[in-house]
Amino acid sequence: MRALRSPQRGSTTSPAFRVPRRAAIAITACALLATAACSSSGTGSSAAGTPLPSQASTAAAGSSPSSNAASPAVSSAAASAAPKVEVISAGKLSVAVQSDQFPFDFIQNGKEVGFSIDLMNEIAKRLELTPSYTTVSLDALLAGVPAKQYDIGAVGLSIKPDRQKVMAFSEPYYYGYYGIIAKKSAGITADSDFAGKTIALVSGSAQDTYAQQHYPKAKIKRFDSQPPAIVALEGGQVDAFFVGGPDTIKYLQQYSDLTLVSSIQTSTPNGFPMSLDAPGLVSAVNSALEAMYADGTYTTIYKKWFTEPLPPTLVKEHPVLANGAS
Amino acid sequence: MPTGLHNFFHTFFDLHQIANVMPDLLRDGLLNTLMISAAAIICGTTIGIVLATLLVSRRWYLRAPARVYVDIFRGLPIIVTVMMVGLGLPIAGLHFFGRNSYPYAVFALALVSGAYMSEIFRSGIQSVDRGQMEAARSLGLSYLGAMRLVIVPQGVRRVLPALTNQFVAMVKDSSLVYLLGLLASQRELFSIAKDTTFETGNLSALTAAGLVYLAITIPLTHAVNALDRRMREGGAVRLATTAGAPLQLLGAQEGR
Repeated sequence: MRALRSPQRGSTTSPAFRVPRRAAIAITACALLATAACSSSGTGSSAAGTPLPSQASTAAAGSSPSSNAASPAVSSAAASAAPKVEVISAGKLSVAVQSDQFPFDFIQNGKEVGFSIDLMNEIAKRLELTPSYTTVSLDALLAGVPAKQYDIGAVGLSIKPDRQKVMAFSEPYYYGYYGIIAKKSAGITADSDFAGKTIALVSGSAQDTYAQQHYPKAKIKRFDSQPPAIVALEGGQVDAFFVGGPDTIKYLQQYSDLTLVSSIQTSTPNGFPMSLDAPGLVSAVNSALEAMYADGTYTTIYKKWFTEPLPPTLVKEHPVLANGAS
Repeated sequence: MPTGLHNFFHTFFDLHQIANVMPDLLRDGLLNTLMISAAAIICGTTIGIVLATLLVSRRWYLRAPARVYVDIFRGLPIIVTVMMVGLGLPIAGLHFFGRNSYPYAVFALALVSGAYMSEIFRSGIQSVDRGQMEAARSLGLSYLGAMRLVIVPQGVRRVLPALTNQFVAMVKDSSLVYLLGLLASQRELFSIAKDTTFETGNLSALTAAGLVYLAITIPLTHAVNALDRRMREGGAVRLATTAGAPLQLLGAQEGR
């Protein structure tokens, strides 16, 4: 900086700075995007949707009364009576998925995979529809499914009363468990009430609701997604990370300095979201799920993604699952 | 109403939902957003002015680092910078700002906006006639003194409208702090709205947040424009004598 004050600077005649060129060419590229009008009439009813006779009979044999008050009356008889499945475009099941919900739905080698995806593929097969997946954010899913932009969401979405006001859910197909992970060096114990501790969690997740009810003394730090939260835990910005049980397995493998502090069985049901205007689809999906419980398809898919036994609450609701396992 | 239009209005303009979230937005969100954006604007402007004087330097070893800085921070997606600063510094063991997400976010936003603003200031400084520098130097001012007292004040005045864009962008980008994790009391407009959409499955809360953002950005724009006008008119101080009254500065009287 001292050099700048040197006296000879004052006598110089060269410009102290460059004068910008006058010639400024502004190139404006106007891209006209023709947005395709979204048909949301919902009249594209499909002739498909008749369950195969064998499946219908299996469903009838292994039927258990539907316990989900939110869904229209589902009976095995309805399944065999060929419910009229209304989908947005004939023959196609338009499915909204997320890309970061291990193990429910995530992207592997550029393809949508996961527990929910496998179930959805099977459901679509049984409804004689071709699934077509679109990866969306949770916001887009929550708005797009009720508006019939998508027929259904293949996500591990908690069934919440507020959500049920705007969208229909299939019967619960999964009951999760939660895990709390922390650094081994943090010395947090399983029966801790986390008083004064900072717990990271993903905003709007099932753990968010749970933590508000059960850990009122903890400081809850909400993150938009899991990766920043796990990095914040590693960086010492938070004391613990409260996340879905299956996710903890992944993180404990990735970070050896972390430990599972607590594992919590929950009764929060997960269902497939659909539009309130598609009762036919809701009952068809429920029938397909029932059939999959009965013939063991569900158990096979479950075991592909989870190491722990079937969710106890689900088995209680569908005793046929216990029969299949034995 | 056609179904599609009805769905659109129900999803984004549910008045009930907007009314529900508005108190939260105004009580916590507004203040937090203003706090982050004001801090980021002040720090960013400072960085921008310093960088701009380096960018117009004739010495390559002053120009080059500033140029590299601007290229990097203007070119990187802002989300990457926020993550690298806010999550990267702590994980590297550098807990400059403790556990609070705000200072990290402000720092990251200031780094980015400083890069943008430096180019705005540079264009302003370079638009000042060369004769101004020559005249200032011939009066005995040092280069830095001439910059500080003569060139920069004139240059800044000329680029105020362009700076407004940057200020507005800062207000909106302040929402990126949500990436770093927020305590309930720390949530700014966008994260409150986002959390609400997760609860309700309806996007009207985002519309509500959008309205509050507009309530910040539109007055901000007009305030800077008014300042711009005053600076132009105030450039030549007008003296007026009214009957019986002493000399008054009109500019001071018209201050509004």
